Amino acid sequence: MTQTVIAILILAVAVIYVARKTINAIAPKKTPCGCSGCGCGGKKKAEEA
Amino acid sequence: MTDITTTFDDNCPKSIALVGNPNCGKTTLFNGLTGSRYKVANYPGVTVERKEGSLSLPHGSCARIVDLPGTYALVGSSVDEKIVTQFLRGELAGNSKPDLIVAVVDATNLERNLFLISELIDTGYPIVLAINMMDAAERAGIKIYAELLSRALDLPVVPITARSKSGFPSLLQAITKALETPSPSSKRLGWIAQEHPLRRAIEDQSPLGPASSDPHIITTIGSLRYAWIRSVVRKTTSQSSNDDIPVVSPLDRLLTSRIWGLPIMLGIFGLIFQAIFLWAQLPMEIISGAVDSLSAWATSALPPGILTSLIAEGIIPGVGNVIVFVPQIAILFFCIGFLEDSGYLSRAAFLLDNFMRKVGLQGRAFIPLLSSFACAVPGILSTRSIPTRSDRLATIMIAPLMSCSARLPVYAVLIAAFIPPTLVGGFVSLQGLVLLGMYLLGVVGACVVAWALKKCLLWKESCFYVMEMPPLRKPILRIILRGVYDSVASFLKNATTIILACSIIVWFLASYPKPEAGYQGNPVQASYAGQLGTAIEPAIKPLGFNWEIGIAILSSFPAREVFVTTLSTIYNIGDDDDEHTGLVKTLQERNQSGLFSTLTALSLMVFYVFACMCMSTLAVCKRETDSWGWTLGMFGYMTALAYVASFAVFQVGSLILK
Repeated sequence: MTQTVIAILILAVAVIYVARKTINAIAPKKTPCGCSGCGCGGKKKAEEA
Repeated sequence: MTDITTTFDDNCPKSIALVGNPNCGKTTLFNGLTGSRYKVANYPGVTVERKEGSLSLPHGSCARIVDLPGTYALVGSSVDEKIVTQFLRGELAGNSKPDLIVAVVDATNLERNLFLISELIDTGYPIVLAINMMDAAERAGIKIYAELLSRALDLPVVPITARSKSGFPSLLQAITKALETPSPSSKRLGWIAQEHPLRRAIEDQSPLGPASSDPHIITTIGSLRYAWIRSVVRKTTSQSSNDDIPVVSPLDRLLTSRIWGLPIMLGIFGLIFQAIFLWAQLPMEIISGAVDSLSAWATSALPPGILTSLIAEGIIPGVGNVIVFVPQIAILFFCIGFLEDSGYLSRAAFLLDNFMRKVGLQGRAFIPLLSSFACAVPGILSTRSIPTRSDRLATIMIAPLMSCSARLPVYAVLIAAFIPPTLVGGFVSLQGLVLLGMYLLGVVGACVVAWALKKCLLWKESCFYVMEMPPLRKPILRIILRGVYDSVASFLKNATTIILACSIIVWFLASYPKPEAGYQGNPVQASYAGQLGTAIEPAIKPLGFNWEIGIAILSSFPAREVFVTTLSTIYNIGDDDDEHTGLVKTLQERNQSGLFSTLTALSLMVFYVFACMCMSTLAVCKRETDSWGWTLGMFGYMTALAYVASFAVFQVGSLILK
């Protein structure tokens, strides 16, 4: 029973990981500053403003 | 389009821009100053996006330093060149104008490099001039009088050798002083006389604005700048009249020879593929043995159950059979690093330039295509250096046809299992030849597709391109090993993230639902994965593939290496015995029992040469082309090409073998 629960948990994590990777590849998240993946997360734009 | 990689400290208020011509050593200097490990190579166009780091200055202060792509002038037309002007104008998101420019010039090409410096002086920014590659200049008999140059340009001038970090303390002092008391050069527009008729118009024009479209004005400005630069260089440098230093070395002449150049290039790449199989054999056998032992140990030591099955039949063989290829990846990248750092790859580009132009590609496409042998993602990003949209699109569309490192495990496992390790002519490994053949097939396919695209779909745009030939030099082992480490680390990261996750999902899909009691066939065929594989089998049967291979192909869409993982998992679950053998041995056993023929293996390799089984490549294609049409077009044409080529190999091969 314990083995089954752990295996299901591991499987769930793997499915979520692959799903997130796929979604990020198809539609990458935009940062608040409007740029795509600049790494600043809109912080600099906010500071400048 | 203007990505930035950030490793900077938010507490550093001042920012510095590293600007210079391509291949003058900006990234080497950036790495040396910030302790970063960005890719450097002895050819132009390696940096196509800006990178930031934190620079510790004397007296405990710090500054943000930005490494910009190389450019010959401030009016560049390609995406990467435009980044430089946009950055200096303070127009890039997340960045204001820099406080200081550290202009890097190549000491062996001072005259040409000073053209950009004269433009930078006109911008009014405070500048520190770093003259890089002083060691190479010394060897070439060039003497640069830094003090005189500093006075002529009215800038702080520091001679350095970035590769050996020589001159760094003086450079840091000069940067600190320039940040504390910034003073622009007084030589702004020093290249044009006060009474010159164009002076007024140029004074009114912004140095970072669009260039004049009048060819007469462009030519006049160029001539005036170069006349001024030549007078500066004459006063501040001297060249020894040593006849022992040839302009073109005999080795260079041989490597770029019309007769010997191509055979030498083929010989070099042939040797690399030989080495991949011969040198990697022993470490691969050791890793493979360790994976088998670990799998067997897990089966015997852990209590029977689902978790044990997941570990012993899913995770360990799945990930382990990919990790086995680390030695081959390391050897491949060691050899490529050696050629990169020596400057040979620019010679290879020179040799292939004529051919590339015949298929409709321009010289700048060589570097993106070369980068794609490691991974298509940086390859596609490198196309930013191509100024014309049609040439850039053509290069993006064919970049994934270059065999990337993710294909290597697929080729290697099939070659090791089905191609005998015999020596052709007593010294050439047949396995190495087949591997070289797969890489060449991708290149030939890319040329045909590029030619077809330019003929039928994309328009012709004329573009002037001069390729810079970097000097041939002794490669630095530290730089090569760093490249090997980065490639292996990236491969292992993939193995322990996406490949691990995929192997867990594949294990589940290949294990459930369990077959009903009394089921006689392969238990995997009754599973979800088996049902899916059986459903697509009619479509892939003409290629020589069965339902098991069908599952492996479908599952390898997130990453090609997952093909190896899936086959390992399927065969491990399907085997009745508890004995764990490597994938190569399992495939050889299947070959002997007629379940997996050599022709199927060849057809499969050809399929992977052309198929676009990579989610990341499609994602970066969408980002760079900003079009779903081109992205789906890439996936569609590559899948069709893979199907047709694989079909031809299997059907023609079957006819011949009949």
